[in-house]
Amino acid sequence: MSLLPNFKLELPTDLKEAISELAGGNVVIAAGATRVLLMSYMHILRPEVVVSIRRIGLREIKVSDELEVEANVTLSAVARNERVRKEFPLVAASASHVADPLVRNKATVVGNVVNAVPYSSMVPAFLLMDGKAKVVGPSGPREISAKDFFVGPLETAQRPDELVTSLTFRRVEGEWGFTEFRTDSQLPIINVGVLRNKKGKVRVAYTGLTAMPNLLDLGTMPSDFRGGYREVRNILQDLSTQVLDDLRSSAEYRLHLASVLTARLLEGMGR
Amino acid sequence: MTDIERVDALDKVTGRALYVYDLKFPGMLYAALVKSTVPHGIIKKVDPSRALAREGVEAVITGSQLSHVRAGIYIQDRTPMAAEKVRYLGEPVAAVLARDLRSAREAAEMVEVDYHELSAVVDPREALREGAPLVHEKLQEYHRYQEIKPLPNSNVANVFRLRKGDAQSILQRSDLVVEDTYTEAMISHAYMEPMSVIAWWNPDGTLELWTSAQSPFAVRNLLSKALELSESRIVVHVPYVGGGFGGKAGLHLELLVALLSKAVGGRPVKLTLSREDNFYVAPSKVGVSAEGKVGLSKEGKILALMVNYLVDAGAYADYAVNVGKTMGYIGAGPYDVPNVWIDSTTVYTNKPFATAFRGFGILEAHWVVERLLETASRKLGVDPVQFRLMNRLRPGSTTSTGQRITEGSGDLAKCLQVAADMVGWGSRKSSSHPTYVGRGVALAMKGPSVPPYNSAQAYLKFNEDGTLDVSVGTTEIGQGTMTSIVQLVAEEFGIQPNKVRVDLVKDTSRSAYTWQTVGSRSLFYDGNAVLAAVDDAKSQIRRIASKVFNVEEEEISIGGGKVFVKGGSRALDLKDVVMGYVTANGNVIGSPVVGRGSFVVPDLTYLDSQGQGNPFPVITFGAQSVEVEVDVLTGVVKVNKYVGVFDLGRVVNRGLAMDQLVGGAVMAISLALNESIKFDEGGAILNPNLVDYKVAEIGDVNDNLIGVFLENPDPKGPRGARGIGENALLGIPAAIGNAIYDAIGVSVRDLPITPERLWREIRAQRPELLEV
Amino acid sequence: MKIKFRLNGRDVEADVHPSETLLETIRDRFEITSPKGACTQGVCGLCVVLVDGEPLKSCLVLTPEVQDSTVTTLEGIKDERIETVRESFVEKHGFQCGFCTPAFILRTYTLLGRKLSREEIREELKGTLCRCTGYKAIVDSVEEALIKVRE
Ligand SMILES: Cc1cc2nc3c(=O)[nH]c(=O)nc-3n(C[C@H](O)[C@H](O)[C@H](O)COP(=O)(O)OP(=O)(O)OC[C@H]3O[C@@H](n4cnc5c(N)ncnc54)[C@H](O)[C@@H]3O)c2cc1C
Repeated sequence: MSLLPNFKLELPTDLKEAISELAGGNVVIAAGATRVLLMSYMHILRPEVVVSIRRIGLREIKVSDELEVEANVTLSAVARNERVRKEFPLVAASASHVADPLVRNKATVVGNVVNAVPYSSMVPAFLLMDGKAKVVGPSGPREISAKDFFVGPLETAQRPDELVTSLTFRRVEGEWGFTEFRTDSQLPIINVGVLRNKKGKVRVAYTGLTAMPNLLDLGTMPSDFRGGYREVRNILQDLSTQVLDDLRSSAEYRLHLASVLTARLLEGMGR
Repeated sequence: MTDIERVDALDKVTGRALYVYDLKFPGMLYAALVKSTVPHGIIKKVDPSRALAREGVEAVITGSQLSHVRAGIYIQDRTPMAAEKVRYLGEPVAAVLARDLRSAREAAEMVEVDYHELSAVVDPREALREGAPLVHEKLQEYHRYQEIKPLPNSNVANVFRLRKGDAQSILQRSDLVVEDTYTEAMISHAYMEPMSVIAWWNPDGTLELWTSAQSPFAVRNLLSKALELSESRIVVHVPYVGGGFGGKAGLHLELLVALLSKAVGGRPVKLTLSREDNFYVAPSKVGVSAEGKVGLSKEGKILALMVNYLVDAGAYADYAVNVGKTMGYIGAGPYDVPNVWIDSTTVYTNKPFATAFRGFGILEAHWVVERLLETASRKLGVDPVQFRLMNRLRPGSTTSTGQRITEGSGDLAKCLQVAADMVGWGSRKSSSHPTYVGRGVALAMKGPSVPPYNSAQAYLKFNEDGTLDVSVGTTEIGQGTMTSIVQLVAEEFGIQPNKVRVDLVKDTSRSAYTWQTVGSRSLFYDGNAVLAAVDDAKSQIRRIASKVFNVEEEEISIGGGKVFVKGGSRALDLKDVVMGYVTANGNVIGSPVVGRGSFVVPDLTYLDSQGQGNPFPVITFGAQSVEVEVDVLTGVVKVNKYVGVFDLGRVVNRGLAMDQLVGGAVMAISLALNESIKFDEGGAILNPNLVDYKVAEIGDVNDNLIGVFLENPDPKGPRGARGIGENALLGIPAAIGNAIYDAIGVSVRDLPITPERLWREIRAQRPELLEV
Repeated sequence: MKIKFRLNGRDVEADVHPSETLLETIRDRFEITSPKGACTQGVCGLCVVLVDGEPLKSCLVLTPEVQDSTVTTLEGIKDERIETVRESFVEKHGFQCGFCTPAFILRTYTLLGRKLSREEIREELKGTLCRCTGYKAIVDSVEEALIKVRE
């Protein structure tokens, strides 16, 4: 059996305490902890202190004009929630693609989006639905829009002493699609989300294409596969030098996949 | 025969079944390995001082402390841990023993090792090059089996040659010659229970071991050689085993753990590998590349076959040299080819080493032979099924080693016809761009790759109530052989299966002997041995009963739990006979019955210098077909349907045979489409975990996996039966490759056929399919 | 860290390492053997346990996280419907080497009462690996158990 490296664990019981734990040092926040532990097992992460926020509440799913998902809401909770499924189907669908039911029973939506890895399944929905991250730090709460949230590879805009308390997803009208692609790994090599609004304008978002998530406005798009593929391929050409090339897939193949998968989603929505 | 319930069922479904992984003993120490950080290098210094100072640590043992002991089943090329130099990244150089696992693992990170790094050779082709770094400088000095011939001052561990007829000149005179090259990745057995061993020395100098191994007697035998300790001083216990697939045959960590225990005064020591260590320290399947050439007549007769195999053993030869040899001597496999030329060269590289894997070289050869012949038949324009029927082995013809096929070998033609029919061969395919449907077939042939002298014992003893205890040497690794053994015995005596107990867990000091649990040989060898023991017991029972009834022994029958006079009404319960029959005055007729049996096939031979001889005690023929669906734009291949048809001679337990067929099919589909251990240029494994080494998941396969068993009895088999365990895989990768060709006209040569790889092949061979 | 929780119907206490997983604690401190760690990296799913009724991979749970929770392994299921699940696995050959079997049986138990197609069963049981059976017999077993329990 693999063992986790030694670290200190803090389990604050309210938000204030949690924030005070974040001050200083090599501190890693854990919500569901599934990614923190996975990365520790794989020697990618070696935290000194883990602050688990599991006991600080923040377990609500709030549905109004927008969907607000608090920090301790699991992917299962979102994927099973009737109102989310009906009113925010892209969020529910993305959540139900992550890993497997056992992981989803513990992993959170917020943990999926924060410090986004290239395989993050929820990020396309967050970007497409004009998401906002609510964060709280020593100097109080603030909001960061999805556009500004992703600041570098594996890096999002909350400061090390800030905690993300919830993510919101704006209600959008129109058609949506989500797909992912896995080959010989447990982790998806690419996730694709698309939205076509009432006016026929298309937006697409990717994770896994480049080191950071991508959100692109495609304008009106043909809904036949051929047309869609060609346009997407052209547009993505600009990114071609930044496309990820790693163990799971070459850059060339990823770029091709992104075009194929996007065109298929567009074609599917057209029907 | 009607199936009985698995004898290991209750233990397993209650979670009560114990594996070595679960065992602990009082005062037991936990071992953790310090692994090399370079692929090839001289060990300059091992400094355990920081580790020794850590709380909980009892000892640190270095490789050089154990360097007087050597192991290796065919070539004694390794010490229990690296001593003077390391030969692969991840090779153990020291072991920490501590009172708990956490202390051991943490202390292992504190052991400091200095290396003088040497240049490494990771690619087997490079390893053959003149002047390549030598993995073993003193190769010629190692003890080895006569038949294995390493080349001094090279990285060649063995070259196996097979020459039948004159392939080289016939190829020049053939109407059509087709050649191609193929590769197959190193893969992991990915058995669920990681390797785990406990060793504990008794005060009288007896070594007791608990190990997750397939072959307790092979462990004992090889340990006895390595430790120069008599077999009777070694007791190997094998409880339930969480999967083996060839990866737990032979001797692996047992030697190291035995020596670690000895080093701490014989205290019990346990070593369980983490999954990551299991990728590095436990052996995997060999990597293969092959150049094949086949010559045909216009009519489609195969005239000659040449294959040059290069087998990557990694840093130690272990079973790989014999896997390479078997890959060679299966030759043209199930085809009747008069001229066969095979060279199979097994080389050392600076990578974690390889061992047996379900299919033992014959799996690898099927990929090459079946793909090459498919290409040839397509080139000739002969229907691949007809082509196979025309060229197949049949009664009277001989295999590539010259072993004769008889009526008793089963009906290969029927296997193929059924497999082709059931997959819809020749019927319309509903392809529409970008999804193309194709069908493929392959033949399958394998016998156990065993030394001629391999054998099995069995015994059974009765209890007072007429129940009996049976012992065989084979282990329960999931395959279910123990259930078939019980079924055979119960049927012979006509009693309920729950009256027969079999030794599900092994103890080499008590259990009957068998050579190994490998090669799909268990039911054949142990089944025959147990039937011999039944016969022996029956004749003792007859002798007693004949005296009781005062009739000739031939007039006594046994069945339905009773002993009776044929045609008469006189009968006794088994229980009144099996401990000796007590007469009214207290005299006893006979004595307690103990049946003993054993089995060997006397007329097998070693192969001669031309690779000719009779290696197989039994051969199982089969044919496998698939229908696939290829998404050309992504390169994703889906297996819609699989049909496996095997002539099993006689099906003892249909459910269990089907379990092997289905389980084997999914394993084969998984390795054909996804599995490979990926290395970087420095010999580090890039995917030493089940995250990036993907084995089939529950959602990856469908239910359309169909098995058909023919029953043309084998004259030597127990009740006519033949083995299936490994056969279930053999032709599947090639059938998939052939089906891909059928679907899109793209020829795949490399395993695994990952989506990206297939997409690249499509782009190279049929770019028009990708035009959008 | 000192922690308390309920394990298979018993209140238990342990003084654990902060980075100790629930899998380690259950196996090493409480000597419960049915959850296994075939990968201990969150993939194989052989370490599944119920935490407050929810099936989780115990190698992805830090033991201090289960303070005051109820943890149940296959050993702790007293509900007699588990017998039906077991019988179905025996009858339909839902196991071979047996190493993953407790995990599949425990997961099947959490599905009892539901009506699921074979496809849905595969979806629900994703996240637990079996290298022997090819899964077909496992799906057969689960299907059988669900039907029998509903009847
Ligand atoms: C077998 C397996 C398969 C997986 N497959 C997928 C997959 O298909 N798709 C996918 O996207 N992921 C996958 N993952 C990764 C992971 O499980 C998910 O991304 C999950 O949603 C992460 O959520 P979590 O709550 O467990 O995050 P955690 O591990 O708790 O945290 C993840 C990251 O977010 C930070 N963080 C979490 N919460 C907060 C907060 N409130 N404020 C500030 N920072 C925070 C953490 O510091 C950390 O950097 C897989 C993991 C495993 C083990």
